Amino acid sequence: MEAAAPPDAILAALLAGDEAAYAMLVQAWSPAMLRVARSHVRSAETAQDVVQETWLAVLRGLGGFQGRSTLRTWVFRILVNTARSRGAREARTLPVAGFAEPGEHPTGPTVPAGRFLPAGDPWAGHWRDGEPRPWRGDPSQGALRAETRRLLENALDTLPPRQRAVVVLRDVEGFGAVEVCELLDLSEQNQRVLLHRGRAKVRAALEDYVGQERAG
Amino acid sequence: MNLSRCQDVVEVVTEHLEGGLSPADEQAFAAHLAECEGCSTYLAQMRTTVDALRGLGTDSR
Repeated sequence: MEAAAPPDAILAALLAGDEAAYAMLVQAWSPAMLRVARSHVRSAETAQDVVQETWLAVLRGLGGFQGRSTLRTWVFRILVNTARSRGAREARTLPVAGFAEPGEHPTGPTVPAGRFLPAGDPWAGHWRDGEPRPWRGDPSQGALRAETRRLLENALDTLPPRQRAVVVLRDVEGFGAVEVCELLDLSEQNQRVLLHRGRAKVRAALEDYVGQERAG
Repeated sequence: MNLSRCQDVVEVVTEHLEGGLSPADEQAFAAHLAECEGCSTYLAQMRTTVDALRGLGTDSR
């Protein structure tokens, strides 16, 4: 995620019109930008458009960058806003319900109640026998297998948009909590809830995959 | 926070991983996990999930 030179040097080089520095930045940040864009729009092609539009906006707006945030936060904020506009345009062909996005339930358990002993049982609220199902092997060890990557990508695709955005930025791309709150206009608590719910869904997807008769 | 039930403990794992639990709640969380293999397993699975997601990002470079 980090380009090699320190941030100030990169910014100075960009402002001086250093094409090599610009190319290096595009190469370093575009994979993450693609993924973040993809969490807001429906297709890889649209995500690519969004990233290109973003870099154009970055070039246009660089002279006005005041350094109140880091360069990265600034670039990614442009990206998120661009992606959201595109996403909203896409969504006009489909009705979107209000503020909470479709499929997103802000409250409610993240682990199905059926996994726990029911009310009335002496151990009500505790895991049922055999739960949670242990995983065979650790899917995170070593380089991710193609199958695991596909599973994770699919799981991310099925998340409600805001959960997907938070999980991608926080866990996949390693952005800090404060920066993500800034980028997505979220309160700390809101961000944490979205992260929690998103992660729980991805864990459930992995559980279905890893808790089977298969190695690693 | 009452963290005697596993059903409630699983809802604070992210808070725990983020370091957002109060000292008292963190203690209650740890005490529960010390006696509950199910929740210890669940926490480990959440950690693995986060690691796997991180691997997704790393792989794209």
